Amino acid sequence: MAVALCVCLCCLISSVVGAEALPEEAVAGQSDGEVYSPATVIDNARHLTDVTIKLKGEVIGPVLWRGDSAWLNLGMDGVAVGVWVDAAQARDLSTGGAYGIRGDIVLVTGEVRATCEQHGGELDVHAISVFVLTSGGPLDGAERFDSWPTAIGMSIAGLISVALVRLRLRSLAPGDNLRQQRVPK
Amino acid sequence: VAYYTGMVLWGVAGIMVVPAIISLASREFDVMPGFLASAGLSLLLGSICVGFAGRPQGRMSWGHGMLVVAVSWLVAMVVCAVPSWLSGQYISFVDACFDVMSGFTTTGLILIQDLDHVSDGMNTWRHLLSYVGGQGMIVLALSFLTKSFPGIQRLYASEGKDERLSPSIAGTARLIWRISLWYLVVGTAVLTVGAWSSGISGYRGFLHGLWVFLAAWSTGGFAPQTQSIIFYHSGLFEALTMVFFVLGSLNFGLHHAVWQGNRAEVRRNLEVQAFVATSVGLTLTALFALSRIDLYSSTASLFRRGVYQLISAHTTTGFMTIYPTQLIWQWGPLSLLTLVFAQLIGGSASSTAGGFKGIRVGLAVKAIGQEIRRLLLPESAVIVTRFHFFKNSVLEDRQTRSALLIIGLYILTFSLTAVANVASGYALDVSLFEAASVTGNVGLSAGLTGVAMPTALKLWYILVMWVGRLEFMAVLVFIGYVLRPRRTVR
Repeated sequence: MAVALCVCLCCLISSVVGAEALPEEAVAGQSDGEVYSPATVIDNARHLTDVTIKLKGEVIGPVLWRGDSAWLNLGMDGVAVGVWVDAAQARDLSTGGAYGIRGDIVLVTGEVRATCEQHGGELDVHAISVFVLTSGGPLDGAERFDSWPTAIGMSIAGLISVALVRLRLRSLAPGDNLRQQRVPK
Repeated sequence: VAYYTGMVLWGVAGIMVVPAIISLASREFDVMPGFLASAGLSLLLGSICVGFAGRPQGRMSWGHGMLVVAVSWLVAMVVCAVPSWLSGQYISFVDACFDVMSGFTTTGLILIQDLDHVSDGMNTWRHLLSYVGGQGMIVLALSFLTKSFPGIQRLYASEGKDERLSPSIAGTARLIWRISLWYLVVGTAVLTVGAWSSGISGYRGFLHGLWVFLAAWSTGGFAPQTQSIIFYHSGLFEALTMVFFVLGSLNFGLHHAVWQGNRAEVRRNLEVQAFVATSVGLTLTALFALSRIDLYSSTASLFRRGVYQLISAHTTTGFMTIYPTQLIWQWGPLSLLTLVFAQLIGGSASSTAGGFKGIRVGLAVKAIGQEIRRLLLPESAVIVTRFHFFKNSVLEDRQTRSALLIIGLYILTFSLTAVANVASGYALDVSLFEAASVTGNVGLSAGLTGVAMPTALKLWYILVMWVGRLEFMAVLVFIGYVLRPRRTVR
């Protein structure tokens, strides 16, 4: 077993040491104005460090104010990344994405930092400009169960079943179940 | 088994009321019905089980205790997946079951869709599962729903806990819950202030404080946003979460001892010594590895990314301050390897943490030292190895065998999971990292876990999380029970 672990760990080292660098399509694309998603920025940050890119995404949650600056979290397709902006750039934002709400869709032009020293080594984007493409609004969320009559009916049925079982159990001897009648001795 | 499973289902129904209340407070009136209907279903199923089984008689055997725990966890997973599934946030029922088992086992790997637009009720539900699973779902349900009964200590031990904080197991369970509830109040207050200071104001800040506390204390690692702890962009908030997940990874017995004024226990306890030693060793290794590749140039960066990630892995929490794919392309092999070891070792026994636990590492090291001394000293020498774990003890072969058996089973499960990952077409480094994460109930991800995983692999992960949390024995008894009738038929 220990041998298996050692073999696995040795393979881990060799595979990572031997890993080749990712192709640099990400960098090649930035010159012709390609717009990146948060996922592409994160996956290719090492090639994009200090490169100015355009990033599109939905503002997730509130703007996190930090004096003269602020943090935006931009998300798309289940991946989000932090964007550091001047407070003035964030003032035009009206809506942050949350339950039932789609946040503003913005286009950020900014510089990627794979390990930003200003922000404790975080992978982030420092915005040069922020442009609101679409203002936020209601979001047609996932289709969910929302039938109140069924919910109330189920709850009442459940509570009644517990009451009945507990009442019945009191009259049973240990080991008996509800299908059995207690036979008087 | 059916009787106790039914009682657990009644308890589960009670838990479902909490997210329904949060939904009401957040005015999510379309979310509440899912929780209420699921609670009703859980009560009904519980009533059928209890009614069918009748009141148990006689003393519960070890086999029955383990079977009750294993079956209850499985049934509770399926029933608790119902409200998750009804929320519409999951692509399949298996995905919902995956997240529920991930919560119960305090793992923290997720398959939920569009997490950034999830309702407050659903987020409360996810985090509550972690909190309840971390303290011990079965013992909670049974100690509050029934009076103490013969054999309850076997259920308690089968759920992976063995410290007795009071003469009775029911009393111990209540003490565990008292400790956890005290921390819940303090932790939620502290993290709410942390969330406010990071820029999330009012009621929303309170919810973030509550959710993150539930995940931190239970070393669960769920987070209300896809970015995990990065979402807050706050060193203060990260430091506060670290305090609570380190506290959560400590033995409940240790918390109790400190509460009783026995602070010396912290210094003398073998498990604490093992945790400190492995933490320091692994942290120094990770810092050396990260410095060698010149990744972070300031101390603040090294702490917020390197040390945080390492301790999050070691306590089996799974909160992340870097993005999953960064682990692979940025961190380098040695740092990754350190995280793999940290995830496998895990936190303390009788805590909310996973992994093969510090006490077993401590006992294994003591046993190795004993064997070396045995080789060096004359054959006639009597070698006695002592250790302190809430009381002074002499190391016995039985304890060594038990510790090494569990460590061996964890390593075997880790290896099998790595093979399953590679066989599913994933790269070796990612496969090994994710295997360690799921085996140790950690929840850190290098990007493998997601809805695109093959269903067979999702089911395997559910099994591994379940096995890892219950520390094998209960699940092995369950498997033996399932296989036994077939053999009889033949």
